[in-house]
Amino acid sequence: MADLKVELDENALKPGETVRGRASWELQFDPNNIELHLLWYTEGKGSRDAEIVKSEPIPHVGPRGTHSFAFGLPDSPYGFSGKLISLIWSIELCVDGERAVERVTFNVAPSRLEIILKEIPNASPRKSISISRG
Amino acid sequence: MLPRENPFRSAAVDKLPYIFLDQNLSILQSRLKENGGRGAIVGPCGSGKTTLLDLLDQELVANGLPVSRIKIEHGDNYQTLSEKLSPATLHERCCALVDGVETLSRAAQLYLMFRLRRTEIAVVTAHRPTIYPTLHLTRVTPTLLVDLASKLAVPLSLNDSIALLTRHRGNIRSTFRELYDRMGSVAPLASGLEGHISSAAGHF
Repeated sequence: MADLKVELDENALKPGETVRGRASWELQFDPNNIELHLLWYTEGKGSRDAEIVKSEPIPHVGPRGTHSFAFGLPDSPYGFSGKLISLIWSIELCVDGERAVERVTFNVAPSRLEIILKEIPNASPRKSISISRG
Repeated sequence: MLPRENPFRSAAVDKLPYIFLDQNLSILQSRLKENGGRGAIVGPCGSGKTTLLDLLDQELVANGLPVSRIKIEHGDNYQTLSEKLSPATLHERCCALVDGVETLSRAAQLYLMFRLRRTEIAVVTAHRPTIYPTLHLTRVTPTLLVDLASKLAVPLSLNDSIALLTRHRGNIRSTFRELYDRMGSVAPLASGLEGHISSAAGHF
């Protein structure tokens, strides 16, 4: 059993700001390593994409503990939702690789609010083009 | 509904388990043993072959066996096949799980069989019977689709399930894509973005 927790001071930030918070863990085993990741990933239809932007190993870990963290955010990408995918920012606490994982999500955008992409109402439908060989 | 809330988003669909209709994993493993550790999982496109291969992979790893996963792509030839089956990928005495053998010619399948001869276990997936003995036939039924949708907390009627599977020719993957689009036209559930996702093993 693993009891992992990640808390953020704020869950809506602007690009370039610093995401701060605390990670805590209570394990029934002695972990070899615990790491924090700042990452973004996509969720929705089709294949998924993800990138770990920064990683921070937590030194001298034991079965239980807490750790404060601060990650500077890059200028992009922004968190958004369209029709096919959402792009989500996250802080992830990983114990011994992926033996136990806790993830907390937050948003990154100039207005701090998730950008919602809407369909263009008068967008012309795709036209098919036929090519004939003369 | 936003993509991250959609019950049919690929992250949620990929976590769905393989559901046996008429046998179980123990029977499949017994058949594999009877056939000298060689066999094929056969079924049409989108019927759960890879999901079942994932289940077998987890079972083998849980038993402490080394597993090598190989994905055969359209256009693979002897050279690319040879690279995929190199000693770096295919350790001696490992368990080779090969996905997508239907794209290979009979001769290429024989070559594959030759290259896998030293592996402890070799299981392949294909749309049609292969040179390996068939261990399990995957198929999708309307009741199965209703069951899987309910695991994603979406009630689906049997009639709707029949209509969907008829339209998608029994391909559950493409059926889920239509259901994703259907749910996508539903109003968003949440406006804020704050959530916790826990997982004991694995993510993405």
